[in-house]
Amino acid sequence: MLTISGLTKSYGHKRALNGVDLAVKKGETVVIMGPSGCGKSTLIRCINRLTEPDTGVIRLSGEEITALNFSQLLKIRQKIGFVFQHFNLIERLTALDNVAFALRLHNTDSEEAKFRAKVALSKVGLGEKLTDHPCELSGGEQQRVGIARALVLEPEIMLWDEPTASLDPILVGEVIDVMEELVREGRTTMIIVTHELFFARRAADRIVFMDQGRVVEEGLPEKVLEAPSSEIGKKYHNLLKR
Amino acid sequence: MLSLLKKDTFIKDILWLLLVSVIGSSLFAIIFAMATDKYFAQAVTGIMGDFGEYDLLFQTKEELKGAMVRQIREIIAEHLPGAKLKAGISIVGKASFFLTLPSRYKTKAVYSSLSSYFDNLPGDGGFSVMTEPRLNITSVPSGIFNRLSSEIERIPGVRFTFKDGSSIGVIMNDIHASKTVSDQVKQVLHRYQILEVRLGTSYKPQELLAMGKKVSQSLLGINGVRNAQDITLASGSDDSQYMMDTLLEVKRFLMAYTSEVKIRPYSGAQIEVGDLLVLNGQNTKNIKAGNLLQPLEVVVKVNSKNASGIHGLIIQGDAGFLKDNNAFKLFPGDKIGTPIASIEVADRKSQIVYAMDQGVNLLTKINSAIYDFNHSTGGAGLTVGGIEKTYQKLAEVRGALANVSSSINGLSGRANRENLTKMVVLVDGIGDDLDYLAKTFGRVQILENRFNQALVGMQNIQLIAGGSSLLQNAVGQTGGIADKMHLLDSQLGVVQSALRSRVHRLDDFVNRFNPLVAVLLSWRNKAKEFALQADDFSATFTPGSKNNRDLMRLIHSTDLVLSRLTSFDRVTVKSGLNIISDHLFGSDKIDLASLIAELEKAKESLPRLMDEELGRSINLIDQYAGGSSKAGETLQVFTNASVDQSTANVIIKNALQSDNAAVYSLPVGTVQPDIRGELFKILAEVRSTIAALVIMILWVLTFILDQSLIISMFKMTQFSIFPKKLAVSLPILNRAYPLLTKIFSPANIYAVFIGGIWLSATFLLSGARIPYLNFWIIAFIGGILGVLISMIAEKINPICKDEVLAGLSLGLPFKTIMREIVIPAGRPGILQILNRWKMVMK
Repeated sequence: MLTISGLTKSYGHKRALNGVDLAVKKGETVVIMGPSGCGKSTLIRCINRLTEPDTGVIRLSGEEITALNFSQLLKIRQKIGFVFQHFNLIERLTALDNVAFALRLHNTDSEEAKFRAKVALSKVGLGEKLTDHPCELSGGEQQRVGIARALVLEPEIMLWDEPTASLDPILVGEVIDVMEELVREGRTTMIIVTHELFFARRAADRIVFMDQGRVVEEGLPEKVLEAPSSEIGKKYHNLLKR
Repeated sequence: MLSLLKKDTFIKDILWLLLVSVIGSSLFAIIFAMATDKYFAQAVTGIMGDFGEYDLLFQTKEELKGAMVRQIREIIAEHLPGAKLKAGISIVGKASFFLTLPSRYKTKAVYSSLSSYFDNLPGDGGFSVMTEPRLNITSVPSGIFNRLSSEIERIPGVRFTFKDGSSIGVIMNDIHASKTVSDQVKQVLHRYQILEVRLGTSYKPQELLAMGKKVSQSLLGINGVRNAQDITLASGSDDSQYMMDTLLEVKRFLMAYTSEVKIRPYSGAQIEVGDLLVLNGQNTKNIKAGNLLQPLEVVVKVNSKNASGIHGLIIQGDAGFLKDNNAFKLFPGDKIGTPIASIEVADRKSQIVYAMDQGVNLLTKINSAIYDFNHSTGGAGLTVGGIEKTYQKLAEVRGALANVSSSINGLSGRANRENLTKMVVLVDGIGDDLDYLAKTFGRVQILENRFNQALVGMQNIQLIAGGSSLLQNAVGQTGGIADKMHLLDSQLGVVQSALRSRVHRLDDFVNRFNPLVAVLLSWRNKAKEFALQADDFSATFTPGSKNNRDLMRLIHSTDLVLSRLTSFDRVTVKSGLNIISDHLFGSDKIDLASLIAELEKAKESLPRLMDEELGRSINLIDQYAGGSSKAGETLQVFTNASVDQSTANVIIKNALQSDNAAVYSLPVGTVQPDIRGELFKILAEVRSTIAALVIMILWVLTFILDQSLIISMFKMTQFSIFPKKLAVSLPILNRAYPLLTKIFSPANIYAVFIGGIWLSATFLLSGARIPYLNFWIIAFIGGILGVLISMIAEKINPICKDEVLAGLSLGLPFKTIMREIVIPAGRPGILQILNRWKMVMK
């Protein structure tokens, strides 16, 4: 479904991605792990071109994302859900409006948009918080609103950029629960960047280790976590043993 | 471009924002400025009243306003009954009052008298004319007031003009004629000019008048110049001009009267104009070098040095006090230096007094001599009559004698005795007539002597009065002493001429009559002698006797007298005497009594001043006349504008024979609108400046609230019109390139462009104006301010990048992100208001 080949990205003299190749099948949940600054977030943002890659090719369902003009890109972005580390909710809108926002702006009828938003929010456990503004919600709740906002467009693929990194351990759980629920449903292809090792072992179909802008190891969670071949994999293995 | 506007893009939103904010700001600025203008206009109306409501404005100290009102009311009752006084507002301790004049008082006569009516208001309170519609012509030299006024009053629409300080107030019939009248007044003013001649260092205040005359005369006829008038000393009021004329005349009078001091420097001595010399006067101790000046010494001030020599005036003491002619130099601090010159003093004052005294004396003598001649002797008629009478009597005597002689040899008693007795009576009778005749002749001789003496005296007086330069210098505009001296001189000439003629005739008479008188007196003696002997009748008729011989001699003598009398030209003598007496001052008659009285008066009118007082007075007049000329030693000549400055410069320099003189052309006056017009003109400027200030404030608001958000968005997207890297690889360029791309970033370009357009367009639409700044400078300032805002836009109006990223991730286009995310989260401004119509998620 998604293929990435030879993807590079530099920030000035720093090479964030150094020829990344990756293929993701439809319905697959791929967890990308690696140390901070290894290029995980850059890679995931390059997929919907929130960050423009320097070189390389990205294809989604056969469509070359890297070759699209801006208006075409806007359309393809509607098929890609994105969950941010810092939730990125619109402060002036309620939880319901934040979720209905994209629908409305993509010309969905107001009532339908609200209905679908309510469903999405209920799905993430926020059916009672529809009229709350982001500032009135906890971090976990805000992130769940962010998840609902991504889900409501019924994307072909969902990209998660460290969704729990900004949350305290107590709140992480509720988000992880939602994520695991979605994974279990298995309706959406997911690429998740996270440091949640246990979540990865439980939920991932495949784990990809990155280091210094490259994919250094990938495979089934049991394999890469129990018998890693890469240095990064070994470090995660040691963590699991503790 | 049109397609761009048809599409629903954010650029269209920006254009709408620009349009609405520019028009809105312009309207707001206009309304605000108009409101301010209206407020001030109301304030002006509050202060000055409605148009034409008031005619005079009075101001005085707050504490004196009661006294002022009382005095104004009294003046109104006396001079302007019906005029209405109204209290105005008091500002900074000054109270004001307005006076409305009935239309019957709006005349030149009344307006010209206003300053005399309201001359002494309490607390130095003054008044200003407020009558409308009115023009003021300011900076008009007073010397041309009347001329300009009369020309301006001929302009249609002008009601009258009046003098208002150094301005001419022009009252018009109708406000609508104001522009036309103003234009025509300007045309009148443009026909003339004031040529200001700045004199060089050789300028002398006392020569100012003569120089002015020279300059004005030199300009006449040049380029059709018909008017050229020196108005230097007329720069004050008419009164001061008259006073100046009088002072100059007094100076001339005093100059004619004061002693003229000629100074002859000793060898090697230098004497300059302004130097002081001291001479021995009434001081008891003689002057010594090194001493200080004493009050009784005589001081001379050098006042001219030219080809004719060095001359001075006595400024201390009098010419009559001078003991010698040795002059010492006097230094500052009244210290006496060494002798440097000898002086020669012509005491004009004494000369004049002497001449008058002598004139009066001589004329008095002549008058009394003529009176004596005419009245004491019976005049020439009686003299001639006496001669005729004597002749007749002598003829009778001769007849009697002839009778006696013929009967000598035949005396017959009684008849001869009777003849002899008769002859003796005749001889006795003729004696009185002959005495009278001799006495008359003696008086004629005395008269001749007096006339001769008078002639000599007259010649001396004429030498003093008519021959000196005194009378030539004393010729003035108003006569006085100079005219009287001229009269004395000319009348003395007439008298002298008449006397000469009379003396000549008297000489002739005396010469003719003298021998006759001698013969007559000799005969009289003989006749008396004979008469005494005539009683001896027989002896008389006895031939050879003494009596008989005496009789024979008497008869012979009588024949001789008769022969002389016969030959005496009685007609000529009578005619001559008639001319002397009856017509002494006949057809060319001089009223000697009146002349004497006039001379006495003239003498009495001579100033009883010492040279010191005269000299100091002359100096003072010079200083005043010098001070009355314009500062910077200038002449002012009113003339036609047809002669240009450079031509005038050449002509005037030639006329003054001075290269130091500089000529400048000045307007004869400047047309100013009235106070209200002036205030409204200022208000219009204030209005446009206020509009400019309002626009500047609105510009800042617009950029802080709206444009900074758009600029921030430009910056956040890091959109660039330049490639990220240069195609060429030059180290310097490569290093400078990022800075260049930063400077010429879309955000900055947008800010400059919008800033310049916004400000200049708003200024243009609202009519705002900042003094000295034109449209392009305003646009430039707008651009510069735009860059400044661009530099701090993210701080002024930050954008939540996370929200924008969320929008981007949801596939929202730029315009939607702006409308739904950025603008609603920004600062409230016009952009937000406009955006509400476009927003979906309100």
